[in-house]
Amino acid sequence: MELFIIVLLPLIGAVSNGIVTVINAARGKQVWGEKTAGVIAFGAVAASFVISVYMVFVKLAHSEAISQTAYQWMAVGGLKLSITFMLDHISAVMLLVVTGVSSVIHFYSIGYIHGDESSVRYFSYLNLFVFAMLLLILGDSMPLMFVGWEGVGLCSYLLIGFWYKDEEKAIAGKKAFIVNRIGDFGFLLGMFLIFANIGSLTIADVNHYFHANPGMTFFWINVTAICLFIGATGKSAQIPLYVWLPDAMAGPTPVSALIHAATMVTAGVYMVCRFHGLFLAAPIAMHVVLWIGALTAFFSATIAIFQNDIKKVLAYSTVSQLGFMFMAAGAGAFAIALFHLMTHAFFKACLFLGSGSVIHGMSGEQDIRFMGGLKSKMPHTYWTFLVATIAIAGFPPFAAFFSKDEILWNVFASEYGNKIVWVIGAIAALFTAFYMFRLVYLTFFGEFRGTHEQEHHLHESPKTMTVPLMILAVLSTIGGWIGIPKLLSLGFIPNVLEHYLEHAVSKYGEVHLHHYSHSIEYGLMGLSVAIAIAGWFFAKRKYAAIKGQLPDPATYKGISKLLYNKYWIDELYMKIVVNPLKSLSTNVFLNITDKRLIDGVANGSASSWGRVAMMFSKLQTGNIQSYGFYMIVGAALAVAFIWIIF
Amino acid sequence: MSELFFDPAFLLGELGLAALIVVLTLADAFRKPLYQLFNGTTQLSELEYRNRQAGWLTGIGFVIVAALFIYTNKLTGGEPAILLHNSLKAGGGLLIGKLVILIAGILTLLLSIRYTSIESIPGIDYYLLLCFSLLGALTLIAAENFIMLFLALEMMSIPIYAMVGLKRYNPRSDESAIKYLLLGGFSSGFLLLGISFLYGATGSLVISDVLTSLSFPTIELATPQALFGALGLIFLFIGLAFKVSLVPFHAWTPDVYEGAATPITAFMSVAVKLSAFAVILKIFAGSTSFGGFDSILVGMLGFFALITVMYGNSVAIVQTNVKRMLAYSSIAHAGYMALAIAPMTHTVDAAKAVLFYGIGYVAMNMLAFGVLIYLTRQNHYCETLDDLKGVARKFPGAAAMMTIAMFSLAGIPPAVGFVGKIQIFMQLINAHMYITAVIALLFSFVALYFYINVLVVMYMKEPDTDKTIESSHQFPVWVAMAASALLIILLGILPTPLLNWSQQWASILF
Repeated sequence: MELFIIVLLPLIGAVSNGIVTVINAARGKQVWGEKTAGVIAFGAVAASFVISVYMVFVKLAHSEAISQTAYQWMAVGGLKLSITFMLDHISAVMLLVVTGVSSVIHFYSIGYIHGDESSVRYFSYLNLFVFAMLLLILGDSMPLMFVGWEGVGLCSYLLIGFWYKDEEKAIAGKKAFIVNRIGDFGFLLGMFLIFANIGSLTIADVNHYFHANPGMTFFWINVTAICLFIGATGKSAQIPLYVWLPDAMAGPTPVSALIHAATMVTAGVYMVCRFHGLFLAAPIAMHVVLWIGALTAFFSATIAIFQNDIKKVLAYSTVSQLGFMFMAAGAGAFAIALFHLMTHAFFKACLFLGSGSVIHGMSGEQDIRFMGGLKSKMPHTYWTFLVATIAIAGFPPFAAFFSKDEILWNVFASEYGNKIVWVIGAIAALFTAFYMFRLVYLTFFGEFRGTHEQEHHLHESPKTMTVPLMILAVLSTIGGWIGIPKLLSLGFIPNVLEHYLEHAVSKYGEVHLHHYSHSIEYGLMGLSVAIAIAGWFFAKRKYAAIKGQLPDPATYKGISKLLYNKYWIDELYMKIVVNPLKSLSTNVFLNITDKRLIDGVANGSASSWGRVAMMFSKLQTGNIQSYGFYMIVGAALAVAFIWIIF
Repeated sequence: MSELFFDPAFLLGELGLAALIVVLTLADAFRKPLYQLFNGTTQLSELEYRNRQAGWLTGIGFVIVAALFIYTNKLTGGEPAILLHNSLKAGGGLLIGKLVILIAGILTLLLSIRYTSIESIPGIDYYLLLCFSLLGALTLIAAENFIMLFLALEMMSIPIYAMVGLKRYNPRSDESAIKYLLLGGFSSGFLLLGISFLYGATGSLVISDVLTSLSFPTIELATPQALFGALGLIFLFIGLAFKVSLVPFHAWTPDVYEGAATPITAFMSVAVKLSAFAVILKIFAGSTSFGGFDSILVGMLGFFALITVMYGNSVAIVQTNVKRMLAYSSIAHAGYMALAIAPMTHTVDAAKAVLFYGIGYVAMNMLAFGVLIYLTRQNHYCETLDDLKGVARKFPGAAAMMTIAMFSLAGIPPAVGFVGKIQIFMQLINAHMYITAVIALLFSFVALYFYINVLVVMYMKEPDTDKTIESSHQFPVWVAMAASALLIILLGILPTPLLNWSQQWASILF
């Protein structure tokens, strides 16, 4: 029952705000305005969070999993699906992160969206998103998970295009949706493969089946796992489907923080962890996950170095961090993947909300070439942003130090890991520290490079926006302490995370770490710190004391041009995928079979009787004969099937 | 199942509908005096007044007919019967099908009341034709022998040929009516040819007898009798495939859907399609296996269904006219429904999946066309994507409705379209037709592009300033839209009751 309340509260918020949106527009007057809408939306999510805390810390403390069923959804040809929610230790972590961070971001939104004419609609979408995300997290079967999976995609799409005043946002929304659906195709394919083989779709059954000696061949197990992983690459923006996420930054900034950084994009990682029983039975798929994660972490980190849009930098950073999570999953360290997912939610949400505050203060400017020196004007934003930057860069004892270090250690030592990937990951970590400090220096240090107008308006954001920043900054600092490795704490501080997740993720097979001496482990840890410091050092040397205007990207040459243009991947996709498809559908299908469309538009607008004659003459000589001809061809084909038996 | 000669208790609904036709004709005869009587109190033009009057009269009639169906069920204790010497089946699960078709009729009516006035279509003609067509459809799904089947099919189709052409001052409408008529005649030819071949092969016109004679091992393969049987089945299939617009018998669909008045398009796309599918199920997916013929039919159905899915979804991408896009979408959906039959498993499950899908499709298509009708104004058609630009700003309710419809059509959960698609795909998976399933799945993702495109235009494009569409109260259209939207969501979340009803309907077909 409680789990249903957790899920349904945001839905109630979404529906009530949605209805009010419609009524407001139809009546031309306000039933309730942005304030009430914001309070309802925030209240719904916060209540969900409170109940989640109760469920996780009180109810789940004494059991392995809580499962609650509402009713049977449908029974189709041997498949029985029920609406069942399951809370276990894996979903508990995700549940707390999502409802917690959502609450903070909803609160921030009240300040951010202030004065927008469609704020009620905005809150409706935001609540709807949380609802879908909770379905995804708590759903105990693949179809239910898929409902949430699709739902978050839809909300993401609606929210990216929320300010549909300019074309770019509309296109970005569409792109996000379509790329995501390519991933979803993989997910569905995997789902069908699983159903066709084991006849059940609940998560527990799937994991059990693949853990206990499966009847499926090695090849098909790997295919299934890779199909699911393709779904994950779509949702979690990994190579080759990452292209939508940077464009998605066209949406409102709290949305970028909530959906495109903290929660939705981690759904792919969560899904892989959910099905770890399957992935552990599929070593090839594990390698694919590991390599895709590492390459994504590396390439997007390089792209982030030369971006000038503050949100684009953070977007590529998100892609890169998601790559780290997949590296962990690919190395078999599912608990660590979830750990990094959590710390990332804190610091990345903080960074995005901070960037929102900066953009707000800069009167909508997003280009860091025209910022600088904001430190004194926006102190709260600056400090929180800096804390989050230190956290992501991996300085101890901030959050990402523990999670990222654990990832690299697992990649280094795990039986699924490998040393080359470790090197790639370490370099990506170096780039991470570099581009983040570059961002900090260009934004907050030096002299102001914007217009006088902007300088005049420059101000610190209101409390509703800075308080969430502070909460998140605190979490970015201490969030990692739940997973301090024994080696560092020497056993004095319990590794809560490991203890908590240990059983849940090792139920379907242990992952062995190769044995290394403590000195190597300490050495690697020291190296992590050195990497963070090096990144900071280079960034400081290059960007701290910058004077005057920054060069126009058009003048970039060589490697910086390549990176600024993101390896021209978007253009490449356009050329090799989108354009051929379009011309296929236009030239082949349209011109050959449905010529009517082109001249049809012109004819439709004419209503004079004079046209009728032309129409009829066309009937006599043109279309209808060919239509009849198609039927004859079809009939001939149909009759041809007789040869099957005669 | 009892065999009776005639018992009016089983046909109360149809008799009621026939009575309604008489009442409507009579009412129209008195329209002039009535109008003059109320002329002082109403602001409406004569045509509008007549249309509204006829509309409400028909509406009340439909509701009474629906009540009669429910009463029939009570009267007969839910027991089916065969009437008139193997001509008609009645009662039992069939009532569910009849109610669904009637509901499609009621929704069409709600969508038409205002639209007929905008288009200056004489309402009484329109509603009479609608009643005739409904009566045909209701008889068609009950037909037990081929003569009755043919009769009902024509009774359903001929009024539609006329209705398509009712926008008399619009050349597109005329053109499409003629096209539909000619090609419809062509397809009836195939149907009749099929029936006569079957008669020749089996010496019977009663569907169940014919199917039994054609089933293995009654019929020996590689005999002239079997050849004629197979040819008969194939031609019969072609005739029906035309009605449900499977490729390549689909060519009329986009033109006719575009040219016809939008409520008629909606009616055609759901009621005609659903009842024709009920017939296809009865003949091809029935409980009697055709033995050797099955392999022909699996190949043929699978082939046509798959190219239909591929073609419909691909061509829909490039459409700029929403009605045309929905036409191609309806072609694709027919393909999906046919796919569920393709394995020829002869189980109630397959028929159930198709009927469920078809019923869900009634709600989604009615909603999609309903939004277009809602946005249509005097002298302003809402048919192309351009017309939908920025609609979400001014009509967030209508845009939300369209979103529900598009998502359901695209098969995105939790809409009913998703549940329907799952069932179709389960049929294919259970029959181990994996490659077919994957291709169909792939194209359902292609389809997403054009459904989403509608939303993009509505939500993310600036409205054209010179084409301001003023809002006006359209209560009936709202009722139709709200009911359909509610059904889509409700049946998506709680599909079990409808699944059970589809099962009941499916089991009576056999």
